[in-house]
Parts: sequence; structure tokens; C-alpha cells
Amino acid sequence: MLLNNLKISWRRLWLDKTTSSIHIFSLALGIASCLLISAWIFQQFQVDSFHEKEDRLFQVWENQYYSDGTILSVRATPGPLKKVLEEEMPNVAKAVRTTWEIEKEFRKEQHTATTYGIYADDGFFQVFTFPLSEGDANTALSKPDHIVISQKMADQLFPDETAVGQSVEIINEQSYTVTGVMKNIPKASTLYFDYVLPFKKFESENEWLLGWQNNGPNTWVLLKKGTLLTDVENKLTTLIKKDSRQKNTELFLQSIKDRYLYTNYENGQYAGGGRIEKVRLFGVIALLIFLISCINFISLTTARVSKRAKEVGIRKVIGANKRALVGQFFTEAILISFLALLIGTSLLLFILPYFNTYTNSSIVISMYSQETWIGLTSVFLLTILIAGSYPSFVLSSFGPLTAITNRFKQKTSQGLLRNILVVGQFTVAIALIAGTWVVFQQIQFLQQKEIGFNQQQLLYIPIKSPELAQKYPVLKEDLLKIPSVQSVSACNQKLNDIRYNTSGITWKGMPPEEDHLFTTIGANFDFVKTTGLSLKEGRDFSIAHRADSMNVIINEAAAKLMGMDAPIGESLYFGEEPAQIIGLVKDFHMYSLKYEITPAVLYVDPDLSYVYVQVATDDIPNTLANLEQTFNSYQSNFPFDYQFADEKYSQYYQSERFTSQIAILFSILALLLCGLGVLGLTIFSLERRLKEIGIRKVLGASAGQIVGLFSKNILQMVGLAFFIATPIAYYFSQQWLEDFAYRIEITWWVFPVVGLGVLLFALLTISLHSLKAAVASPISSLRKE
Amino acid sequence: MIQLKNIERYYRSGLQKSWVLRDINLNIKQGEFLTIMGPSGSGKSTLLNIIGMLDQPNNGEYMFLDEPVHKFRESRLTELHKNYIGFVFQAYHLIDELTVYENIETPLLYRGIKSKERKSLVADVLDRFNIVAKKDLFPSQLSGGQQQLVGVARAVIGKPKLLLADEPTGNLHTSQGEIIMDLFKELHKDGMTIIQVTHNERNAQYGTRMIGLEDGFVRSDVAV
Repeated sequence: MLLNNLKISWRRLWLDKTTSSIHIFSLALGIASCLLISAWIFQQFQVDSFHEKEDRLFQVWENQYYSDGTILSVRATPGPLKKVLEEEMPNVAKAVRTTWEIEKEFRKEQHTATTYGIYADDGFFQVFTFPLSEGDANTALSKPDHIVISQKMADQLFPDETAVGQSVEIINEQSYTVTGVMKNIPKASTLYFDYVLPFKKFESENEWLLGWQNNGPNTWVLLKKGTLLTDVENKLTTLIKKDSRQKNTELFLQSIKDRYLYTNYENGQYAGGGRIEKVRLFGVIALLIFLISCINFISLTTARVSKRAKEVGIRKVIGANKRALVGQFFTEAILISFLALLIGTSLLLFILPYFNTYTNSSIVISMYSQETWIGLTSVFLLTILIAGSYPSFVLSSFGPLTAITNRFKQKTSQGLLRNILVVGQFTVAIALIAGTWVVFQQIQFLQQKEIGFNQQQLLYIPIKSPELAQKYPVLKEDLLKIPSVQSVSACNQKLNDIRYNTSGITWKGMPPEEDHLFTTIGANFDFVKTTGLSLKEGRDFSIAHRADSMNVIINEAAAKLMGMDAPIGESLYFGEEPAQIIGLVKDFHMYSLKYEITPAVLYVDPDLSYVYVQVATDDIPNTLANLEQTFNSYQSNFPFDYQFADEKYSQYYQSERFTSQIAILFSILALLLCGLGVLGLTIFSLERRLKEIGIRKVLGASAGQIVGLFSKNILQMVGLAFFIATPIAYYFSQQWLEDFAYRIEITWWVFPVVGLGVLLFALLTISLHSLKAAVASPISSLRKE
Repeated sequence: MIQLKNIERYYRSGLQKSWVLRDINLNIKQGEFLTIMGPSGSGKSTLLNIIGMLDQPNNGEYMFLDEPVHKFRESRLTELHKNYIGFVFQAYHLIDELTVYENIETPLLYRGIKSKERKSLVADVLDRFNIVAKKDLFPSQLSGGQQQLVGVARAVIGKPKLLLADEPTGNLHTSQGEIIMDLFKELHKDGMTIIQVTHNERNAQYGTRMIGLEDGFVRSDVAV
């Protein structure tokens, strides 16, 4: 019976190639996108899940309360916290501190390596699962001169020998003994580092870590088995406030499992969202695409009902019961779904490399992994269930007589259902396309917005050797000799990636109970000129003014906060130290446009991290070569590095670009699927109404009128879809835009333009086919009757 | 074999009932070859469909092999129908996607007959109806007469006790029609009960009994 059903299903597919291809291809597209996104989502959930103790491993966060009502949630914690946690919290099995990633240069004889790594407390390798391939994890970080390096680094520094037991030099620091080689960090890790040094060492070099008032390292805790999180969190806050270790702060814990996906804290609370929001969004979109393709299947199959009703009737007359018929139609659905799965999967494997390049992601689908097969099977079953069940039950429910005697009429309820499904499809397509357009506009806006300084011509060149910092004035003169270099300055950070702030600034007339957070930028002479900031009043820092080391430039936001209408000549205080305001610059963006501009204070900082160079844009390669030469004459041990400011800026929107790329991809897909669906429906409706067309033509209808006949219905449906889709698209686009402090206004005409475009596309699809019927001779269609 | 008592069938159109069958009382014995005749719209096909359990009467009683069909639900009807009744249509109603062989085999599939037995049964019928050479062709590749041969073959493959034929020769040339009718005669000789609906006087001559239907009433009932 099964074999028989299969044979018939196959033959039917083969006989009606056009429809079958539409069926299979549209399902295949749906399946491919569903699988692709499932793989991506799966990958997102895999991040950090390789830690064996992930259920008990938490990171300590701190909420900082400010008098203006803002609550800042940070992962930076005070240095002494670790010890206190271990001593005063019985539920904490172990606490470990880690630093941020620090770049260092390593040398072993003629081999060198430049890479990022961290300092971590002894016990790091017991808490986290970063297995060592050589060395003892328990003692690897027990002495201040120990170092654990990654396999990758071991290969670079010790190409043909065992690394453990050997010494390696960190340039400008000291030599360390390699005590362990760890396997390379998996890609699915939010912590990424190539070496681990003992935290003790870091602490001995940074005394500020000993006090409670400064926050710096990340602190991690491994809880004892069976500990309730709420128990611990309640005690944490008591702990931090005890003996006024820190005032106005609170501690809470975040599971390492949530570290990647749930990171959006606002006003001290998890504000929903973070990466998980994107995961959900894409999940929903993929599901919608999948549904559209299933809808194609359903509506095409039910549209064929009239064709198949006769067969159903005959089968009933010769003894088929309902179960047998449902079985038969399900076999058909299974066969089609299987072919679609096959094609969809092949399609996916084929496009995956292109997708990865296009979206800069690294999705891997392995045919050997259990998860892949679970995914494939569930998509397959889901397809059969959605696409197969409804048509099967509809088709098998005809009475034999009505079907056989051609007294069969499509039930209006089925026609209605099909219309609803088609409207649904178009709603999704229109909403997706309109949403995509908004996303695209916002990204354009982000990239074109004047951010307040000259990004295109500004180069950040990191200062790597401490000696160079001292020779900076001479270096500056040398650099200025390069013809295309227009101006040179220096700073302790990148101007569009400002990280330092302080709450220690006061001014005259400031209410004593308040404290405010100021962004601080350690600048240098000619800073305004080099960066192209716009000076509103006053002057730039200048070597000609010896007192400038005690002077500051502020931005408009700072002037406004301090209530200074004419700030030039006024003073503010770093603690007790007074500083005179010599310049006021217009507000500029110091981070991604997701964030508001904050009050900022620029001061002259002898501690330099980056040389800023303003270059002419005509001959960049030559300029870079000259710069490299000059830098190498000062710090020959270090490779020359640079970054254009606009490069840094565009990195902020990688995630948004990914969103827009995915959205574009899915919009095209949705449109394509709708097109396929409409095409299929038109073919059937033409078949059904062939006689009607013939009669109308005999009565004198023109080809245009005939095409119009078929277009009227779709016109109504797309129109309805437009009215449903517009508010939905508007709502979700607005939600997405709200992530940005600086955003576009949604322009009203986007929606009608998209609606019209989709309508045109649908009409074009219809006319392609119906025109053929409309110009054909009516005789042939009428003669058949 | 079949007892019909006061069978009535009507369709409602608005407030009016339009009568198709009225007060039909009929006894059909096993082994009869009954012809139902009458002008168009006299209710012949409806009567045949009711007997074949494809349609239900509005009123009246229908006993088939002493079982009260009018009281049965659909699944029970399907069972009865499948095991005892074969159907031949004017428009053949073969399944277009199936070959001759498969068309004939299908009823056996629905009866759950084993593959080996199916093969021999189908082979017998193909042989008997002289269509072995056509077994792998599709209906569209056959002439009308050949298609109807397949239709009859499909109807009788399950050895039904009752064969119902609705104008079986209506779409055929005279000579083709004769072949089909000869076949019916032969089946009747072998003991099958046959009820046919026809316009054709000559076809009626093949039967043993003839009833005339007019405006839904039985007007005549004669032995042939």
C-alpha cells in the first residue's frame, strides 16, 4: 500500500512538472532558511556553554547609583572583593579575578608573537574549562613568574620543542616560565586570550587594586553545589556596604550562560534584550518565511482540489475509506517534503560559504553532528505536519457522489481560507520589506551623520614602547616634516571609543550632595586642530601656553550641566586641583550613536597611548609608508600599527549591518515565495476558468480585460495585506530604532512605496501567465466541453 | 437480496421540495439482471446511487442482505460497499495517473489483499477481458471501449455480489457497447446480480427484468 502510494505520488509529481517544481522549490527555500537560522541560533546558544561548571559559574556585576538618578551596571569590580567573597561567603567555592585583554609582545630567541591575554587568579583553570594539553592546571599560576600560553602561541614561539619549563620574555618587562599550554580557546567563547599571567603579578604592579574605591578587574565566583542564587545575592550587597567598603553600590551575579545573550542592563536591571533580542527576531522571521512556504504548499494543494476531487470520488466508490485517502495524501506530502528537504539542505550547504562571507559570520553545519540531524528531522516533521495535514483532510472529506458527478464546487470556506493565507503571506512580505528599508535607512544615517570631528583623515597610531612616550615632542616634529601630515596630537584613547570617566569633578555652585559622571579625555597640544573638533569659543591646547597642563576644554554638554553660559575663564576642580576652562567645543559623538553625548572634559595628559595624525587624503599608501618609517626609527621592536578613525566607527555597526543583511535576504526570499505562490494559484485559476475565458473572448473581451479579471482578486488581497502590514512594520521598526539615541524619523512614504512595489510584482507574475491564456484562441478551450 | 420500502429522495430548494424519488418499493433477488429505464430526470441514477450506497434516501427503509442500510453510519456503509458492490460509470472514471493494471488492482489494495494474490487476481481478469497487452498503458492511451472494459474489470475484480452500471454504454459506439453488454451477460450467467440504468431498449433485452421510472415513481415492472 505504502509502495503503491509512493509510486502514484511520484508519478503525479512527474506528470505536473510546473506545479511540482513550484511546490518543491518554495518548500525548499523555506526549509533552507529555517535550517540556516536554526544553525545560527544554535550557535548563539552554544557560546560559553563548554564550561563544565557553567551551572555554578557566575560573574559579579556592580550597580553604581548616581545622584542624578542614573544607575550604571558595570562588570568592573574592586580588587579586594575576591578575598572577601572567599572569606565571608560560605556558599562561594572559589572566586577568581581576571583583567581585560592586554596586548603584549613575546620573544623567545628569534621567534616573536604579539597577542592579547589576561591576568587571572590561581584557580582560574579549575573554575573555567580551558583544558591544558601540557602542564598542571592546579599549579600553573601559583608563582608570579608563571605563564600559561595557548597552543597557537606555543607553535609560534616554540615551533619544534615542548614549551613547558622553558622561559619566554615579554618585551620591556621580564621573563616568565611557561607552566602550561592550553588548547586554543574555542570560537564559542566570550573570553578570548592567548596567554594567562598570574593576577598576583598584576596586583603588585597596580597598587590601586588594593583599595575598595577603584573598580577594575572582573570577578567570577564558583558557587558550591545546591546554592540558591537569591541567598547569595542578598548577602552580596551587605558585603559590599560593610565597613563602608563602597557606598551607593550593589552587587549581583550573572550566570556565564547569560553572559553572551543577555547583556542589556539599564538602570540597574536587566532590560530585556541584548543579543537575545536579535536571536528572537531572526527566529520569528525564519519561522514566518517557513510558514509562507508551507502556505504556498497548502494553498496550491487546495487549489488543485477540483482536479483531484474526481480521483477521490472514484477511490471512494471502489472502496477507499477516509484513512486510506489521508494516508495517500500524506504520502504525497511526505514525498514532496522529502524532496524539498533534500534540495533545501543542498541549497543551504551550497550557499552557506557565501552567506558566511556576506554576513561575516562563521556558521558551520556538520553532517556528522547529532544536532544537525535532530534539526533536519524536526524541520522535516514540521513541514509534513503543516503542509500535509490540512490538504489531506480537506481532500479526503468529499462525498463520492459530488466528486464524481462533477457537481463538485469548491467550498467557499476553503476559498476564504486560501485568501486569508495569501493575505498573510503578503502581509509578512510587505512588513519585512518595509522594515528592512527602515533598517537600511538608519544604517545609512549612522554612516553619514556628522559626528563632530574629522574621521576620514584622522589616524590612530598606538604608542607601544614607553620610551617613545617620552620622546613624543621630537617624534611630533619628525612627523610634521612628512608633507601630507597636516597636524599631530596625542591622546590616551581613541576619540570615538572613549572609555574613561570620573565622578570626581566639581565646580563652583555645584550642590554638594550631587555627583556627576564626566567623560575624561587625556589629550595633548593641537588636539582640536588635529581631530577637527569644532571650537565654539576659546582656543586649542597649545605648547605656547605653559599653563595648559592645568587647563581644560569642555564640550557643550558639560557647559550645560554646569550651567555655564560663558565658560571660558571659569574653573572646575579635579578633587582639589583647580583647572581653568580655555575652550568650548561643540558636542561630538564619543561612541556609537546608540548612546547619548555625555558631558566631557579634555585635559593635557602626559600619559600617551595614541598618536593622532591628521593626513591629507590624496596619497594614503605613501603617507602610511612614511609614517611607518618614522615610527620604526623610534620603536623598532614593535610592528607599526594604525587605524583610521572612521574604521573604528564603522565597527560599531557590524551587528546592525548583519541585521540589515539578514533582513534583505529574507525580504527577497519572502517576495520570491509570494511570487511562486501567486504563480501557482494563477496557473490553477486559469485552468479552472478556461471555459469562462473562452466565452468572454467570444463575447468580445480584450486580452487586457481578461488579465484584469485575474488581477482583481490579487489586487484586493495585496491591498488588504498592505493595511495590515503597515502598522506592524511601523511598530517593530520603531522598536528597533529606539535602541539608538540618534535615529531617523520613519518616513511615511516608505510603506505605500513598498506596498505598490509588491503589488506590481504580484501583477507582473500574474500577467506573465494569464496573458498567454488571454491571447490564445477561444475555440480550443470551448471545443473541449 | 435488496428490499426497498417507501424510499423517498428530494432536494430542498428554498421552501420547495423538488422530488426525485417517491414511494419506491422494490424487491431484487439474488441473480437478477435488472434494467432501470426512464426519461432523463426520472430519478434512475439517483435510485442506482441509493442502492449503491453512494447516496442516502430522505425517508424509507433499505435492506441489503437483510441488513438495515438506512440505519448505518458512513464507515459501516463503506465496508458494505467495498465488499459487496461494484460500480461501472458512463464516463468510465478511471484514475488518470494509474496504468490499466494499477486501476484494476486498486480495489484489492483497499481490501487489504496480499500482493501475491493480487497479482494472480489481476492477471486472471486481464486475461478474461482480453486486455493483457494494454496493462501498462494509461487511460488516456485507450479508446472509450477499452477504457470501459477496464472500468468493468475494475468493478468485478473484487467478485462483488452486486454490479451496478450507470449507462455503461452511453459513451460508446454500438459495436463497443455490444462487447460490454455481452460481458455483463456472461457475468450474470456466472451468478452475479446486476442492475443497470439505460436509455437503450436493446441493452434492456440483455436483462431479466425491467422497471420503468417516471417522475420519481415506478410506473412499470416487467420480466424480460
